[in-house]
Amino acid sequence: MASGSARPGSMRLAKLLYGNVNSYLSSGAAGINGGGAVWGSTTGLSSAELAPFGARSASGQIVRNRMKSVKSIQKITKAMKMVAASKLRNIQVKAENSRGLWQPFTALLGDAPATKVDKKLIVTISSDKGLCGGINSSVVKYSRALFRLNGLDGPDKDVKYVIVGEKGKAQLQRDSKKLIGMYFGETQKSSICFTQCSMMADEIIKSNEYDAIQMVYNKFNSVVSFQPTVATMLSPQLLLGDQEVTGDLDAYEIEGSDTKEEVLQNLSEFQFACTMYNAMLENATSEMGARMSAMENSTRNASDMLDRLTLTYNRSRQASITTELIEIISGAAALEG
Amino acid sequence: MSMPYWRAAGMTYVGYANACAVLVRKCMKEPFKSQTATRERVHFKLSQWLDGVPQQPIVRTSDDGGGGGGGGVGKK
Repeated sequence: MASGSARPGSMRLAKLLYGNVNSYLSSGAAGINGGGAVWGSTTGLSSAELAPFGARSASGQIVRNRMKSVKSIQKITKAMKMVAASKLRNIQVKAENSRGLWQPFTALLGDAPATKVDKKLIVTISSDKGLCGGINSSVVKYSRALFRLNGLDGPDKDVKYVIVGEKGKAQLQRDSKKLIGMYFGETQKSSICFTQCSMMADEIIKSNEYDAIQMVYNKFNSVVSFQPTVATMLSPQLLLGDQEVTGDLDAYEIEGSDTKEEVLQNLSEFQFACTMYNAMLENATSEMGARMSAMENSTRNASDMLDRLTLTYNRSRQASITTELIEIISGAAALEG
Repeated sequence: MSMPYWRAAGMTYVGYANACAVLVRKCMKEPFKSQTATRERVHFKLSQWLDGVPQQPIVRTSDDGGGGGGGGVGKK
């Protein structure tokens, strides 16, 4: 996971180096004698860090600087892991409590992921911040698969994405720009609460027409396992056509002058808000868990790297000391003899 | 078909439920009132996309007053 996030960085570095080498070749003025300075710029090190030719401690200095940077990176990843762990504990309780909100709905209205409808919204829930493993790419992958599945039924299907979170947007706008209907960001600035999620659900209901909503999020299982989950919610019109649901409702007495249609409309809107609340919490919990394990991995990688660097550094230092000693001793012996 | 007055005004059920929740929270007495105040704090940004172009983002937040979480629901 850590190497995955490091890849773009090293790519950028490689490009930078490539650019430097190219500009050196095109200017062509420095020549061989200026080699020291040019070498310094191509490796990304200042020329002050490279001692003149023959100096003993040049490579030692570089290795030492590198060790220092690795050490500080390790400190940062360790701190991030601690922060994620403490946030995880709070939000996990909240997420587990919120599961009771959607379960009755699934018992009453059912979950029909295979429903074929004309107008569908795919609500993709992702995180705003990165460095949390593969949770965002997995929800994006599932959303794309859902979209393609819908396309198999016929060409005249109207499917739109509603995206929550910066990272999901960044991935989906690359190839499905025209299919994005709405985007929500900065949702985790204040802690996630029901009011916020229901306001978001309200905005989605108001500004979109749909027959079904499919929500894709990571369900939190444990710190190391998250299940990409699809929750399907049908529109009141579709629910009304469903004999099972309307049959169940007949058992209840409805207060006031509300018709069955109105009750179903209210229910389906409330179901959407509750599922949204649960999905946001589950996804945030998964994000924290994923970040925790990602940061643990990178802390371990940094300490491995530090061990290797320390070994190299000590070995070369020892070697140079030994060489110097031999030179001094053999010089002295030559003078005596 | 008879409609509830709030739906006739263009509110959804969740918007109506939110407005009611805000009113109920306002009626609470002190130790509970401040405990539940955090449940009204809202902050998010949304933007509509038209043909691959994001429109002007709208920020919904309870930090600038607006009467708590329910305040932002009805406006647009």
